[in-house]
Amino acid sequence: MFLLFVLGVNWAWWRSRLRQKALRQEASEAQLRLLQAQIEPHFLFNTLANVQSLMDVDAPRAKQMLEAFSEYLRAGLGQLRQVDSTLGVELDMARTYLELLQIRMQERLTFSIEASDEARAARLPTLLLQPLVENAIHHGLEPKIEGGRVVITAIVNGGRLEVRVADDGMGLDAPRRSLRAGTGMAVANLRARLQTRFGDQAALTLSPLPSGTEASLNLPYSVNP
Amino acid sequence: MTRALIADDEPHLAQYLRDQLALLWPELEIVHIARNGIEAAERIAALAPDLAFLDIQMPGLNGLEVAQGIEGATRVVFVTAYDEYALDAFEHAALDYVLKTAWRARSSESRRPARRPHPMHAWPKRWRA
Repeated sequence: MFLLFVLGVNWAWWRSRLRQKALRQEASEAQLRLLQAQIEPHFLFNTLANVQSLMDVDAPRAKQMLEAFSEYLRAGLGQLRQVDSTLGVELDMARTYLELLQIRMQERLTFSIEASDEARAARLPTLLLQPLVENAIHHGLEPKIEGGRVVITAIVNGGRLEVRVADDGMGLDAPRRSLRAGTGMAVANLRARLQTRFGDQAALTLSPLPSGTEASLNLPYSVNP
Repeated sequence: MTRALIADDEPHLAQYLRDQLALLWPELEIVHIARNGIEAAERIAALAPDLAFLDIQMPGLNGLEVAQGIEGATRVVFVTAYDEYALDAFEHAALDYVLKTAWRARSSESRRPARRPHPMHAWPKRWRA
C-alpha cells in the first residue's frame, strides 16, 4: 500500500514536471518568435522615406511600394499569430520583402526564388525563413558596393525539406562593415527554435561560398492535414 | 555660391534631397551625388565642397567614416532615416543631423531641444549662420 502511494506521488510529480517543461518551451518559442517578428526600424523608416520621395516624381511607384509594404506588414503580423505556416507563405513574404528592397537598391539587388509545389506545401514554423533573407541583405549585399544577388531554393528530398538562401555578398569572413548587430543573434535564435521543435532532426548551417554565404535549413518534411 | 555634395546609396532618396534643397536653397550648387562611402570620400577630397550631406548607412565606408576622413574645410550634415546614430554623428563633429522623413516637417524650431533633427525649411539659415 505504502509502495503504491510512493509510486503514485512520484508519478504525479514527474507529470507536473513534464507539463512545466512543455509550458516553458512553449513560452520560450513564443518569445523567440516575437523577437523575429520585430520590424527592423531601419527597414521601416527607409521604406517610408522612399515612399515619400517617390510621391511627387513617380506616384504609381510610390503606390506600388506602399501596397507591397502593407502586404509585408500584414504577412508578418499574420505569421506572429500562428505557430505554423507553410513554406509557400514564407516564400511569398520573402518575395515582397525583396521587391521592396529592389525599389530602394535598384540595380544593386537581383533575386530569384525557386521551389516546387511539393516544397511550397511543406509545413514550417513561422518566420523561419525571413531572418535568413534579411541576413543575406544586411550582412551580405548591403555592405557591398556593387550589391549582388539573392537566390532562394527549396526542394523535398528523401522525406526532408531543404531550403537554401545564398548570396554573393561580403561573405562570413568579411570584416564587420555594418553598424548593426551581427548575423550571430538571428542564427542562434533560429537554431534555438529548431532545437525546441525538432530536437536533433533539424539543422541550420552557414557555409562560405566562393563569393558570399549560403544558409541552409534542413528539416523533416510534413504537410498540413 | 555654396557648393554641396550628396551621398546616399538609395537613388530615390538622393534625388529627393536634391529636389528639396533646390526649392529651399536655390543658390546651392550640388556638385556631385555619390552612391557609396568610398565614392563620397574621393569626391569630397577632389571637389572640396562647402557642405557634404552624408547618409550614415552606406556600402564601402559608412557616413561616420567618411566624415572622419575629411581633411579639408567641408562641413558635414548627416542625413538618416532613423536616428539611432545621432550621438555618434555629433561625436564625428557633425554640423547638423536631419531625418529623411522629417524633410517637410512643420515644427517650431524654438521648441526643439538642442541637437534634435531640424525641419528642412530651417536648415539653410542655420548652416549659413
